[in-house]
Amino acid sequence: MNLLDVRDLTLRFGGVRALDGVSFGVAEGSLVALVGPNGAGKSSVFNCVSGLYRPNDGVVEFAGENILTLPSHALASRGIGRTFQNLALFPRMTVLENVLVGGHTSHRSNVLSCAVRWPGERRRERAARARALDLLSELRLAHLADMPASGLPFGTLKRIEIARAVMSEPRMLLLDEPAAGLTHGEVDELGGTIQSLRDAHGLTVVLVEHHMGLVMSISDKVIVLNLGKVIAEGLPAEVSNDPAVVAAYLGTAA
Amino acid sequence: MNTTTQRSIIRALPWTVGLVLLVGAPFVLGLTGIRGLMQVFVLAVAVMSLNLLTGFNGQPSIGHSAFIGLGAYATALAVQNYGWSYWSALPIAVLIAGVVGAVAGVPALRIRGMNLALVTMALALVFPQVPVRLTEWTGGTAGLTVDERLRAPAALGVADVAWQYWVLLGIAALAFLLIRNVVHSSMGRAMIAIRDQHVAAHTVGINVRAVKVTVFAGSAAIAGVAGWMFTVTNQFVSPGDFTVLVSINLLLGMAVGGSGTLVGPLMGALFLYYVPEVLPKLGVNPQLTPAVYGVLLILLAFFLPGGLSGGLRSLVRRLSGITAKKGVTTPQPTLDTT
Ligand SMILES: Nc1ncnc2c1ncn2[C@@H]1O[C@H](COP(=O)(O)OP(=O)(O)OP(=O)(O)O)[C@@H](O)[C@H]1O
Ligand SMILES: [Mg+2]
Repeated sequence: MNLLDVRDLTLRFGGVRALDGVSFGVAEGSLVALVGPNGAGKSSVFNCVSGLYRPNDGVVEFAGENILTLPSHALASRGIGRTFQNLALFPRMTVLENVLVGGHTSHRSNVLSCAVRWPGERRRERAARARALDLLSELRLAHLADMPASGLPFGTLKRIEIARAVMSEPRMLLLDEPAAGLTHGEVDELGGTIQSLRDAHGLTVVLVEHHMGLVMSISDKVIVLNLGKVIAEGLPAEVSNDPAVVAAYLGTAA
Repeated sequence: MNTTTQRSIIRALPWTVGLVLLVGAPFVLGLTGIRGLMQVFVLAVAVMSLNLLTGFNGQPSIGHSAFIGLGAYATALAVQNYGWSYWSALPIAVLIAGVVGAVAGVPALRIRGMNLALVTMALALVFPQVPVRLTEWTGGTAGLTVDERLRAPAALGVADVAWQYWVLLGIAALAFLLIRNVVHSSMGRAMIAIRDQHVAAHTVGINVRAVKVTVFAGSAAIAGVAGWMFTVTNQFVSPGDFTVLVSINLLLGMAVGGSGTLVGPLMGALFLYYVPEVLPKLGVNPQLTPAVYGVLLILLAFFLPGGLSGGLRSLVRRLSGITAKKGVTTPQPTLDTT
């Protein structure tokens, strides 16, 4: 059963076809990599699936529901969590507070119960804090909990964003270049972290990544995008030997 | 006693001392001092309401004079023309300001920044015209004097003005407490998230529109409370009390105190009330007050970008840093901050 089904997705920016009839499926529980040269349309796929861009054409079904008609804030409670290529953290909050914001959907409360600190509200807040601290430990960030988010290294901020996304208890996690700015050793560690997060939280993961070592070692399936089109799809080993893929990468390198 | 409770006691100490001093003030200060502090409480609640919307949620408003005016006029009309008590006028003042705030919050969903500031300014420009149009009912430009005052319960045997002072102090303290609770809750984090990074706010599932309208309505309702406090204090309302200049002054107070902080509005209110009081005594022509404000704002932008509360916080941090260092006997690993 596919958790995510993308069919004939088309997205234009003026004359630019960022996406040109993209179709693919993501099986529940799998870890799928979405790769391709710069400007291929990977982030655009994420933006359509998370409701930030409205595609000109096509269908996005999540758990059998057409989600393109939903407002973007409704997607988190449906079970879609994501991180951003260029980070979208809250710079004036602490690391812990950033993660707590991720718990917004499971921690719905009205202004009045917040204002008078209703016992139920306090209990929810305590539970959310405990869960956020657990997640920070899972990502080895617990020692930074009370630091302001601004000023931390890029790789650390990327991990904080992952913690924030997992805090919303998503069924599917979209990771946009989580390894960017990491050292070699850190990339290996990240691969392990992503796998253990998937197992511990029952996640389906879609990973956009330029770091091929990471992609090849942890993905169940690789989808290759070039100029807004899917040019290959299959097991990591199959895809890396595909002539079309080699040409696409060499073409951009030339 | 562990260090956390110790720290929270130390943190609560200045607040407790301040509150005790304020509660005791009527026994020490003369009538002018008490009346001055009442004006400070009105201003504090007004700046708090603006800070909730603009400082914490990032929605600028030059329309708060109108929300305060609505609360003040609703109270004055209910008490003077319809013979209501001040207490029964309070929910009406809050409700009217809050409903108008909710309605004003809807267009604010579509527009942001400068344009939103202009739309709220239109509200502030229109509001003083309304009582003028309805002169028979409101007294027009001459204003409306309220003969009745907020009376102390006879059983207490205290002067009415002292009672009014304590009521206003209590309401200001309550407003501060409720706003603090909201800011520290999931709702407050959602507000700040929208202010600083609204794309991410959407993706973590915050209903940005609903939060923005709620905050607009809540902020306007609190401004309505400030309006009620205004009428209790002055027993007089006139269109000139709620011009767009009042809104601009509140923005100034918020910036001086430190926008998006809890303590900022209190400092802003002290500034807004006492600076115009003190300047003539220093021999400054009162007409130059706006110029003095301007110079102070520029100095502040350069030397205290976090406002007075930001400056105070870094001072406290520096002092406590010094005491902490004194207490440390073993060398501490330094953080690599490169
Ligand atoms: N908001 C936008 N406005 C205009 N053009 C856009 C916008 N977003 C994406 N594009 C264009 O769409 C195309 C695909 O961009 P996208 O960001 O999806 O690529 P990508 O595969 O994520 O690339 P990278 O690896 O560099 O992150 C590019 O040509 C890009 O310039
Ligand atoms: Mg991208």
